[in-house]
Amino acid sequence: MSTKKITLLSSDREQFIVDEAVAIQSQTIKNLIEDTVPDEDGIPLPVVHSRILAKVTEYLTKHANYKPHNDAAKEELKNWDVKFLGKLDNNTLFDLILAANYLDIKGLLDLTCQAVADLMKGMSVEEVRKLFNIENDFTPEEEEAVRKENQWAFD
Amino acid sequence: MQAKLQRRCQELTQTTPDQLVDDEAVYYKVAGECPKGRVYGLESLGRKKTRYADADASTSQVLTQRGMGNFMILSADASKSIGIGVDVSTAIAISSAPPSPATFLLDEEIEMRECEVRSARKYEVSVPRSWGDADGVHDKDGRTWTNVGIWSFERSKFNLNVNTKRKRSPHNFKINKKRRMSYTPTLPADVIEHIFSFLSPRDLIIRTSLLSKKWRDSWVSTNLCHPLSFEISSQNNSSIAFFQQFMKRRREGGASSTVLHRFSVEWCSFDREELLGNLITTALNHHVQELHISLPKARARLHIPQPNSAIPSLVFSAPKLRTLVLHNVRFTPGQNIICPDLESLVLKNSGRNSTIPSLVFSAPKLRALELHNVKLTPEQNIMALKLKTLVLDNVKLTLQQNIMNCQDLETLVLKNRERSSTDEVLRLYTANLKKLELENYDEEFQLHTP
Repeated sequence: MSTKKITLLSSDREQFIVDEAVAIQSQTIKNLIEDTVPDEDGIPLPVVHSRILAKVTEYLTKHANYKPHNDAAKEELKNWDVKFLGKLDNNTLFDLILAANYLDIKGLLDLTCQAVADLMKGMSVEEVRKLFNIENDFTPEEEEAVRKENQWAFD
Repeated sequence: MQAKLQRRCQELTQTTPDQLVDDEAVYYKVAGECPKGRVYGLESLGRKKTRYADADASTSQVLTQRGMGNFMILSADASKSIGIGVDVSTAIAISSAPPSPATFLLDEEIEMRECEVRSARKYEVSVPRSWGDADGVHDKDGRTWTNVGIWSFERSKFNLNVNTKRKRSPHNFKINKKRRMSYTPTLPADVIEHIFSFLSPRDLIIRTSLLSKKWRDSWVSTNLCHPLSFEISSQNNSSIAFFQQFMKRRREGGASSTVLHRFSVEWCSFDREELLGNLITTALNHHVQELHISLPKARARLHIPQPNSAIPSLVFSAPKLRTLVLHNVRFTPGQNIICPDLESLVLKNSGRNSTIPSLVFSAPKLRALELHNVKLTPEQNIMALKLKTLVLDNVKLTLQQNIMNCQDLETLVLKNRERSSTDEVLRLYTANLKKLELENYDEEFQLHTP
């Protein structure tokens, strides 16, 4: 395996040096490596702050160096993911989702989205609105109509 | 353009701002000289150090968060916000004056325009598309903008919890630790939809259909990532209604495919056979991978037939089925289980008098087989070549023929047999057996391993 190093540049211009195999798990980075002439400082990722990029590279490094072959290894990786998520506060989690979406890292996007879905399970509708900055544009009558239409789910 | 802004911001941030820090955010009160009417900010080099420069420290403060933050400028007494900003790249630029209703452009690269959301005055902040990757919108000059969020100027809408009762000046601006800023970044709609797809069906409808008009019906067509699982019982009508409605609305809503992970039906009544058949057929049509069917115990004395006929024969040949569990399901003569992908099969109480289909035992991918209270005929061999686990609970084995051909068998569990009167000793040939469990098993047998 090639041990070529790639330098990533966060939005606050901090450099992260990682193996190419680690970096190209991000489809966006892979495309950037192929399609663009890199900046002398590294590949600029203008929407990812160093605080978040540190988390992203931590995840990618673990997942690149760890290809599970059996159930026990899969389990260990899963435990690592749980631990990784456990350390994040909500803001960081959301920033990480934005970064995973932008960098096109499916594993990380699914992991973080699942975490937010788990958060939602105990929430009221109003709390979910607040979480995603969704504006309630229903009139009370309309809201009641939706509730009625989906009554079979609320039973 | 970015370089220009960077240079300017570097000039500005030479002044060291006073800083206020709490656990989650860094708030800076900054002073500097920059063109009147404008505020420039910069996330400086180095992790955890965020600096912003302010146009006029005597009239405003900059409040920001670490990370890919958004920030707002408060007036000198911190009673109202007079500007907002977003930092997408290294540099940001915002207006320090309350924005006029008209659209105005911020340093060519960041645009802020007024929009109306439910009659509240809000401002949409956009950056050129090249800075982000979301779908942009085109303006009249042919440039593409990406909306990065909508902010309200009413502080309550910003979810900013600052204690306003305490009198404060720019010099003693402190955040009450207990009331920290609960603001989280706004996610694009497609990402929010992806998050919703991880919810269970019931959570999906309950938590999303009441959010807003936009989200009301989104659940019917969203691509589900959550493994769909339904437990249905004839005694629980709402579980039946939920399954039927969910699948119907999804089908009508044009969901490309709704794949069922697990479908379990416990039928306690002897009637409504047609409904039972429909439910199972629906599950099979949605490529169910794990199917559990439990019928009521036969009541031979009452001459009530079991609703066996309700089970569509497709069950026994379903192409995607991996796990099949059948309780009290009898087989008709000649019926075979030929599901090509079947990996695990459990048959319980299939009746003393009905015969188990022979081909059960040669399913090409079968790895686990459990038989409870099942009668095997002497001709029936368990010939599943890939079989790794075999559980025989109250199953009479005849001599040595029944499990001879399972080369890969690793775990064998024998349960609940009294010693039979015959003198013959059972012989089991297993090459790779690693685990043998006996539970209440008195039958004599010899184990042959090479």
